[in-house]
Amino acid sequence: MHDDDDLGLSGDPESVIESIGREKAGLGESVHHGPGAIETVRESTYRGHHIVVRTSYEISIDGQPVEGHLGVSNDGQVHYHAIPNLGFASAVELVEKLIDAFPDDFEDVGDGEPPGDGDDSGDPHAGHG
Amino acid sequence: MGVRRNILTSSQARTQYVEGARTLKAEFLGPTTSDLAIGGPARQVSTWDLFVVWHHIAMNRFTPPSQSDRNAAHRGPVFLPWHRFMMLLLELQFQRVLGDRDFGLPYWDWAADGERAPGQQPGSALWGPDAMGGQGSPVTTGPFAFDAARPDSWRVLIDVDVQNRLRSVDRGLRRSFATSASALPRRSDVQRATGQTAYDESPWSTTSGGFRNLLEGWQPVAGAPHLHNRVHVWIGGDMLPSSSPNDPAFYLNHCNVDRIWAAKQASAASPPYVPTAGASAALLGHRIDDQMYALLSSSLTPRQMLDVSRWYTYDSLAV
Ligand SMILES: [Cu+2]
Repeated sequence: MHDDDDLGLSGDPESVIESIGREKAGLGESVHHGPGAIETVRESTYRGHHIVVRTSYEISIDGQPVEGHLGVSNDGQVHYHAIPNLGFASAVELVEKLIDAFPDDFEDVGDGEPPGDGDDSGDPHAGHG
Repeated sequence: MGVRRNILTSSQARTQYVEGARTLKAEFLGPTTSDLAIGGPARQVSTWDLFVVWHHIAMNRFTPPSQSDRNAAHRGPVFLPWHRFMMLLLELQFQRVLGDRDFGLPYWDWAADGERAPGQQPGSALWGPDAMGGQGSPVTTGPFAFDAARPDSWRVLIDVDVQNRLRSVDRGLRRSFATSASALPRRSDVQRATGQTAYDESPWSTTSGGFRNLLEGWQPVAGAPHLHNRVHVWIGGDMLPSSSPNDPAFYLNHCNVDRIWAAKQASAASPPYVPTAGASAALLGHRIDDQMYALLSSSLTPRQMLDVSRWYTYDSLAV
């Protein structure tokens, strides 16, 4: 067993169980956006002036709403928390990627293949200005 | 003290990593899906999967909640110390189940494979049957292969749906090499990050210059994703969603990311961690003395993650 050190870090099972017991009341918050439009906020300060830009997105796939967190960074790149390592120049392209990334959520309707090996068009930023 | 080794050159690290991962995946300490606010009938969550859940929840906490870019573990300065914290805690779990206090999580020096022609990269020894196994949906080779008839074969039991909600599932691991990014990062990409003079820069986000953001992989926008992000995306499958610690390759990637940070810290002109404690409250969760989001232990601050010499070292800092 690893000794506790001065930071209180430990690999003991009891410490894991206790910590979850302490934290679990706060879980369930903010893990899911919920129904309705997704609102994003961008803030910036320019020459001493405070800028706030709110955008709302209402996205659906086959009529079913997409309701997870979507964000826009100040350079206009959109991202979606469920595919956290990608940024997109276009929200449409982002939603196409969701269909590839979540095969269990989208029945294969046999119309078109996901991009194959070595196909650069699958690179999210390729060719967008 | 742990020594973190190159998984491709240390067969002992490889064997211990596989054994420890499989043991932690089969260990149930008591916490259930309902304790963790995951829908469906309550079932116990393995020690391995607790880290999957922790990572997902951290990613879904905006820091601070008034903005929708930085979260408690990514897209901002805390990216490197938070993942160091996560891996340190996981390493302690490995040391416990392996009964070896000198065990260190192995790393994958992906830029070495990135120097090969893109078509040869999936042929790396990393994806061989005595290491991580190959690609597929599900993976069918190596120690994490799926076999429907064997309950002890590696199973993904918690993932996220398209709405970004955690859910219970029971299926094999998925990987799809080079589908969403055509090649691994190269040495020159790593050097572009390590050559940055600042640890991080205003506006402390995915649009920043500086070492952290380049290593995380958001900049330059042209050609992104880079480095850490690109490795996730190149492996594909279960490495794409926020439940990516489902794939044991997750930690091999992050351990290499941590090693690159350690190399930067050990360099002659190592920049200090920023933002400082006195920075704006708009950077809550990312300043040097802010509490990082914890689920499986008490919380730590980025400052407490800057010197790890009492816990582990790397066998090499050549990046
Ligand atoms: Cu992460």
